[in-house]
Amino acid sequence: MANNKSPYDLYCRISIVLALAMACAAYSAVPPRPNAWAGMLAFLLLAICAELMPVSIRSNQTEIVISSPIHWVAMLLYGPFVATAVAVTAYGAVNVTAWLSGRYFLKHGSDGKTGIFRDILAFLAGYWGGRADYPARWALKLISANCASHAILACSAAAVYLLAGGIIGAHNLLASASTWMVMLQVIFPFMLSVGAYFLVDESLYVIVIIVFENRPEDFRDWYSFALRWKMLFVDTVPLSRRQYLFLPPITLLLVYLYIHLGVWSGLVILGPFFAFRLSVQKSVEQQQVYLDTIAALGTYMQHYHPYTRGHLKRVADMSERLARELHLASETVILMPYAGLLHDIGKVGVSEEILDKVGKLTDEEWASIREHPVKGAEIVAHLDFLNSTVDWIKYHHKWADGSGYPDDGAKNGGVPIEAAIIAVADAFDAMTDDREMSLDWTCDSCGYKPEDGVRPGVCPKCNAPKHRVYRQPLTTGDAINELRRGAGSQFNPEVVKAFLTMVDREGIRVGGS
Amino acid sequence: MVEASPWTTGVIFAVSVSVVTTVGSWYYSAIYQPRKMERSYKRSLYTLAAAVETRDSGTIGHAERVANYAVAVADLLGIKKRDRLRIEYAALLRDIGKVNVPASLLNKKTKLEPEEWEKIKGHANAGAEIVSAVPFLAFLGDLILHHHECWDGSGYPDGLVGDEIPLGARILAVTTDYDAITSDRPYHESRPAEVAVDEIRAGRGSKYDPAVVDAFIRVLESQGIGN
Repeated sequence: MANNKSPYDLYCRISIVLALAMACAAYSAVPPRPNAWAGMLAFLLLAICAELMPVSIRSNQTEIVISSPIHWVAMLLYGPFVATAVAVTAYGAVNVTAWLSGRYFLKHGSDGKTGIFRDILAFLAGYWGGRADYPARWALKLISANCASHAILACSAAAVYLLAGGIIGAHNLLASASTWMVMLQVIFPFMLSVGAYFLVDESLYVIVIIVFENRPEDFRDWYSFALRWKMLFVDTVPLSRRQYLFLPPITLLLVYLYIHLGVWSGLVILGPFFAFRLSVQKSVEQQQVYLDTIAALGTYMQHYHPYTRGHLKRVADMSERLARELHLASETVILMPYAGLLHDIGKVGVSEEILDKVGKLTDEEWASIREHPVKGAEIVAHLDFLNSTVDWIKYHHKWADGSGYPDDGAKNGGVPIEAAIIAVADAFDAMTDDREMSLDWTCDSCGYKPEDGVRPGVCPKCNAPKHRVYRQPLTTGDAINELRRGAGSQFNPEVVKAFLTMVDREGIRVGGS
Repeated sequence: MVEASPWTTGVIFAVSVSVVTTVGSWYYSAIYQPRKMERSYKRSLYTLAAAVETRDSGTIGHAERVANYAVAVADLLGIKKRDRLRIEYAALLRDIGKVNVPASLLNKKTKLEPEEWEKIKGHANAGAEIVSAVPFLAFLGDLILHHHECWDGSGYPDGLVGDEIPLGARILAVTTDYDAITSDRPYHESRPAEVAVDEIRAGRGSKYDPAVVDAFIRVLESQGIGN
């Protein structure tokens, strides 16, 4: 969590100062016309509506708000300052209300009373989701930083538009009669401005992630920053961004309508807006179903070992929580449980006589066991939307000090933090799991079943060796000590630290899983 | 942008662009994206099936070949889109239950003991169980369960007879056996296509559904195999 002197605090301050400066510049560059209040109010209402109707992904944990066309229209009609004001006011109003109502319900609970006011509060509280329990300072900091990003976005997009020769204001837009002038004075600068908008939007996002993860090395030079960018947006895209190509045409349409029809244009635009929203929601859902289906199939395929059943689920849950604790990108947090479920999928190709063997393995058997992360990575590489987890699975048996397997030169720092997370979750669960103790002991060759509680390594009746190690599970405390001891050599110290903080705060398991 | 009658032009323009955008969004989410997802599903199912195939013969690609044959036969028999897709997915996943069979049994070159044979037969049940546990793949369960049933009731696991066996499973039985005969296995070398066709023909009406055998032989003939 960000404390008083965290880099995130610094980021918040810098962005707020920058946003204020840019807003002042925007005001002096294109002062808002005094007679535009009715139109501005209409767009503010529209923007608030858009903020209230986010497309939710994974049950309220991540949300996309489609409001940028409204900001762009405000920019084209009234200039950068109004666009900034609309964006910041709409976002701020909705989120502050949602946060306040969340705290209200947290304090008073739902006491069975109904009423329009309480219903609205409940709706907003639901919209804000689980974040209502953040400490007050933290939520306000988050909201104000996001307001600042909105302002920076709107101003920089408008700056690009103006520098490219774009014109602002309804009467100016009407005055350019010829199609070519419209192309030159509106459409071309607008395209550039939209490009700038997305570029700045994603840059701010990358910067927030880097600041949250506290990785100053990503800012060292342009190359490192671009690499990080590629990791976040090119390699990890669980959402298709292609739908956003629809947004600029919708914006120009809205501007044209507004000039001719006035406020009523809002009614005509509702059709395309809802169609667009539906298409984003549907494609997100389809990908969700795909991910769940393939991950479930892969998980059940690994169930030939009875003890993997609970183990995989627990590793998945723990990995997801650790990724959240480490403030990794939301795409990572979304994919983490799937990687946890599939991290041992490579073992499907390894013979279980080897996996279960007691005693010394031959070099050949050992080599075949060491192949499973690479085999698993090969499988996952062919699963669409999961291919960014390839390295997470490939290196989940690589140690922080460079030992472990596979032996392909990924030394310190080359192991992605996601692989380190899976390694910690996997090791902790394996150490504390009482899986062997709960299985019935029967001899594989003669079927002999000894008294309860006796689990010999060799069958007392026919002397056949037993193909599985039977040992007592460690207590939670002992397992945590093991993690602490391995931090820096076997485990990534950062992940172990996050694990300790998290377990200290929330316990080993949450939600009864 | 004509200034003479901004209202008429404006409204016509607006309505047409709205319609285009709406139809475009609809096309994307209802046609384009599902098609793309279908390709993703096939690729993933094929990959997972290949992962299981590495356990037995060491060579992969059976699942894909069987799926191609099964789809061709389904087309000839006039099976509709959704059922054809079901047959294709089931063909890819039919042997997924082999994760439950020890690899040493799958690769055994000598004759199997009766109890070992029972374990191998268990892969149909195990596969159906795995698939049925996944909500969006549960509809493949009965095809995978019955893909080793025979027309005369001599197959496993339930010994169903004739029409009791789902049509998709009858198609899988023929195409799976054809692929098994023509490829290398630990317990036998691959045999030429002509031999395989003769063997399938010999099973017509006893082991296999006659209608499916006829359709399958026509598929092979159209590819220039056997006759």
